Amino acid sequence: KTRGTAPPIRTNTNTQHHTNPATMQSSSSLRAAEACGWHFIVLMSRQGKIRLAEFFSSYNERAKQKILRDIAADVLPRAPKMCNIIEKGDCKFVYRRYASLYFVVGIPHGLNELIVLEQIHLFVEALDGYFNSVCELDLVFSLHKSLLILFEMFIGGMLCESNKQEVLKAIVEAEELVEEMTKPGEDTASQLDDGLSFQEQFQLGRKPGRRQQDGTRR
Amino acid sequence: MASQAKGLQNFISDLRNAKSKEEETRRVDKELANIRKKFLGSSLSSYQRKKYVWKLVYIHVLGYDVDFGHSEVVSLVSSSKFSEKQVGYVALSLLLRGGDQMLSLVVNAIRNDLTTSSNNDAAQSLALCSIANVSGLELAQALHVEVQQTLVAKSTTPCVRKKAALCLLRLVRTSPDLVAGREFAPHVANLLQDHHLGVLTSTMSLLIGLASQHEKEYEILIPYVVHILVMLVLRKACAREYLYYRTPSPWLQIKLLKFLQYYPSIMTSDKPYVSQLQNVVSKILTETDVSDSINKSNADHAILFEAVNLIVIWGSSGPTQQREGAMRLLGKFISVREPNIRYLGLMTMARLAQLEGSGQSVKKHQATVLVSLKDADISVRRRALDLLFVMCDTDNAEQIVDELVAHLVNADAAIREEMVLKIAILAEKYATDLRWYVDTILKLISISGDHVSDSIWHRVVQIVTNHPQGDLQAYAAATLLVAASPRRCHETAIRVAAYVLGEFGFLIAERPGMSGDEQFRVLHQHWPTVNKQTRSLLLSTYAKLANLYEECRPLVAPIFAKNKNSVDVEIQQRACEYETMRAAFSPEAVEDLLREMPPYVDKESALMDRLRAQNGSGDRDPWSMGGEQKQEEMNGRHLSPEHLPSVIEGDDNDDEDEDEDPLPQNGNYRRPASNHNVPTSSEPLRAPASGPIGIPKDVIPAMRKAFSHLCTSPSGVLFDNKLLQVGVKHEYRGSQGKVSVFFGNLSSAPLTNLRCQVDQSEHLRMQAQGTPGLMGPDGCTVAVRTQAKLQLMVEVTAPFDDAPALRVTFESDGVQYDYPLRLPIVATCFMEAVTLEPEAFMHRWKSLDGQDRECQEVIRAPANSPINEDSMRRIANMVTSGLRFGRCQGIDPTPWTVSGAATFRTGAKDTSGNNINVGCLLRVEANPQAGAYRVTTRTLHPICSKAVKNVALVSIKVI
Repeated sequence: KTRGTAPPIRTNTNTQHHTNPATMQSSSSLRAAEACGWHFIVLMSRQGKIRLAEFFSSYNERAKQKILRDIAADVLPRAPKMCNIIEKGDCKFVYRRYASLYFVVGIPHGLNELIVLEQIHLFVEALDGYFNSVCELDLVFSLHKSLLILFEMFIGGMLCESNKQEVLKAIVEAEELVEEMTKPGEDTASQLDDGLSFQEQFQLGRKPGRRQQDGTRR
Repeated sequence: MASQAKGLQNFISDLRNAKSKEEETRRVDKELANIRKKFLGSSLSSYQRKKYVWKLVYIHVLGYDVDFGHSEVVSLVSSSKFSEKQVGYVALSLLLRGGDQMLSLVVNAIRNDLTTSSNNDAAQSLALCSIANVSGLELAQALHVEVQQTLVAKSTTPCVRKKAALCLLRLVRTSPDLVAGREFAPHVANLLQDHHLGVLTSTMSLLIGLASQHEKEYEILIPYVVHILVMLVLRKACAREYLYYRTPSPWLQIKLLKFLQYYPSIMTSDKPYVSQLQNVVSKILTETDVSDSINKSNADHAILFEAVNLIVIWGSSGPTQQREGAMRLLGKFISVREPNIRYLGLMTMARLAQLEGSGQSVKKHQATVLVSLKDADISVRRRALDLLFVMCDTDNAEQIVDELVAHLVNADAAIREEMVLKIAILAEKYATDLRWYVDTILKLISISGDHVSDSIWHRVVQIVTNHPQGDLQAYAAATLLVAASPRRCHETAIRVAAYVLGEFGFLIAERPGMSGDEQFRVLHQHWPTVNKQTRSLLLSTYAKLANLYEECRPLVAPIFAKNKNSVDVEIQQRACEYETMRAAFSPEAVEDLLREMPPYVDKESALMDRLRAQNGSGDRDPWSMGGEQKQEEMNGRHLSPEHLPSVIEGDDNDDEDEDEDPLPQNGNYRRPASNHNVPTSSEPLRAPASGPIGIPKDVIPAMRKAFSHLCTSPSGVLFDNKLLQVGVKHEYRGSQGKVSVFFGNLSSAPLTNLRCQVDQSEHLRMQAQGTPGLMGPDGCTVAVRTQAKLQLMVEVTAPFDDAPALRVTFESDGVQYDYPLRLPIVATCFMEAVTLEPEAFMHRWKSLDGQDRECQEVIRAPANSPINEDSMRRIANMVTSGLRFGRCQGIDPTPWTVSGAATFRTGAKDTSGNNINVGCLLRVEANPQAGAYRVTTRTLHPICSKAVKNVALVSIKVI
């Protein structure tokens, strides 16, 4: 027998307690959501290329691909004056656009959307501090650095440190540790770390060589 | 393009230069092949290994599946060089997820980094971050002690401590009983006195996670939390580097306000912090202002919205002026240009609007909300729709619904379905005149018929049928006749019209242009274009029309005659029945059969259920059977006990559970009651089978029963007919079992080519041996009155909730047979009874409280076995000897509950070489008045919970 064919309709979680406002928000599903942070962060260029993606919650390969498709289909075409929040089933996309790059974060319902927007900005500021005015190319060629910064700031999708100085200090210290333990000439960690030739670095508008110790901008 | 990977940068450049996705994919595939080769070869240098793993990370991030190289990652993590460790941990965080077998190899290395605290903050940090990102049960169980120690140890630096807090949070989310609240709360109190704001923020995240599971145990921390809020909000005491655009750590403020939302009754207490907290909230409400910097504005408003959430939670126990202030602010927000603020304003107002007494103040903003309904942004429109739905009442319903209907014309597909459902609910709920309701639904059908689901129009039929008062039925019939008159109209309109005219068409037959044969003509003009469900419905209506109006009979007769040969069984059957009805029965009987339907049992609209079900959780009353079943229908068919031994392909017509439908789905009329002796063609005509013969339908109920019995008993007959008997004997020890299956020939001819195939599944390791040929491609021959035997050694490696399929094929007398069966190897076979003291049981029971760790279902007591002390004895026996649970005595004062505990043994090993086991708890509660049992299971593993519940349910059925 055929059952009702209508696909499920999603409505916001807060209608479910329509009849009983007192219990609003105390439902276990919403509560569990509050204890979660970001489900994922995806950096996608306007052309739909992925520049960075980390899924903090467990998704299988298919679910991940679906999310990436949804981002390309729903986030990229949005007009600049629209709000930075999209509802997508049991998840919300909160995004910010910097130049041609979209920073998209997936969060559960019940998380504070505005603060997530600012968390994205905080991450961008940290990247900015490290790369001296970050651009998309920096992220393309130094993905591993962006990942280290991301992991320094966010643990399991939760904001861990909001003080940029402290984040950058930790990154720089780790870089020093990498070099310290390297016998000159043997391990080419620095080569890997910044594998660009001086020529290429120059083209990217960067100063060749080591970064400033304190990691602050300019 | 470079033909060889010279380095990471070259590779990246190549990908950047790829002109198409295909080219990129080719390049990636080539690189993957290359890396695979390198990894297979020997002696990679440290640099190479790092380089290739970085490349894998890069490829993974681009969205390609990377399913190898895990052992290189593991060896990097275990390295003593920091440079290698760093690469290893990042790759670990990205490439591996809980459940990966590689994890067991890396646990010791991680533990090492975590505990040897000599100068390695950096390594500790990496380890904690990876544990959090990978999470999963393995790591949670293996490392939570070390993580907790790191978190509370004096020697830990702030940098590591904040990471340990978040890492522990992640582990607690995976496995909630890792932390015992009473003992842990004082540690959290210490952490809350830390001066490092990073540590505080992380600790608050952890605290929210803990309190979301057991809020009572962390209540004592409220004063600490309020104190920090006072410092940040009232005194603005915050280290400079934690100011975010001059706002003192908004991240921390949000967490503090969120935590307080777990304690809604805080305002009714006379604790000293109550007034402080009110000052904090007032200050946030009054002093938040729009700022030039979007970042500052966002951060401040984030705090403000969180404060309003807190006010909503307090409800009427909070100060009135704060609620009014919040409403004023939100009223402002929903008309500002900044879209995020407007979106959140609408969302938060919908929450506030649900508080008692706020209805009037919300209604003032109705016009503004209606404007937002037409916003260009779908997110804003959704919120506006939601708010309108909440603010609707009898006074403004007509206006709001009419506005919504008017807007539906222009609404885009993404939101239409939701709008239609909500309009239908509002129109029904607040209709003062049911004719308006009928009109509204008709408009919905004509504007957006595809989104009007069956449950919506079924509801119309129910309401019209149940309201014989006034002229509703005649009005509905007349309106629908007009609606169905145009050549083109939506199929749903035709269905409602067909049903309503069949029932109430006679009320308008005297009106001009609405006589019986005109009604018929209007309906029948659609016949060529409608689908078969609608056609079946039309046939029934024709039968009713023909019964009422002499002049319709000659019109209808040829249609019945023609459809006697329809390819659709349902249409064919109806046509045959309706045609012969008049000849076969007395006129009175025919009259009786075609009489209008009795009123429906008045239930709450299924639409509300639908809305609730789709929101994931409804307030379910576990003892109401109807509700449960509706929920189940809404949620789609999940694995119910009926489907557990789903041996038969195709529909098995087991429809007892589906009688509750408001209307049968195919648009069928309810079948006349059986005592009328309607000629139901007993078996639908089927084309003669050309393939092998399957299991005859009549043995299926017995087979199900046999399966259920075998789930809980060591031996018995699984299947039995004139040809073949399949017997099963099975015994288990821990995670292993020995299963013998016997195939006996009961016929008078030998069974040839007898073969059996057992499905291999991931969760059961199986070794099979048996009569030679039995498992082979040609099978074996079983002579008359002899047996073939199959022996299986099984070991379970993971929780599961189905039963392995066993397919038996053979030939007898030149005819092929193909019997799909299922072996009664279910989760409970691998249980080992655990005897718990009542207190221990309750403690564990509570600690397993949570969404997917619990499974619950209500089942009616079998008809032949009413609930009494005797049946409870059998239930207890079923739990202990059938399901292999240890009975926990003395928990419940009544004799109507049986509680038990057991351990599910698997053969999989954890890192320390011990078998992985899952603790399972079960309660069966009987309600003699309701004649129902409620089965609740709680285990650490959602699949385990479900599996045990299902087996318990099928066992109760045959108790």
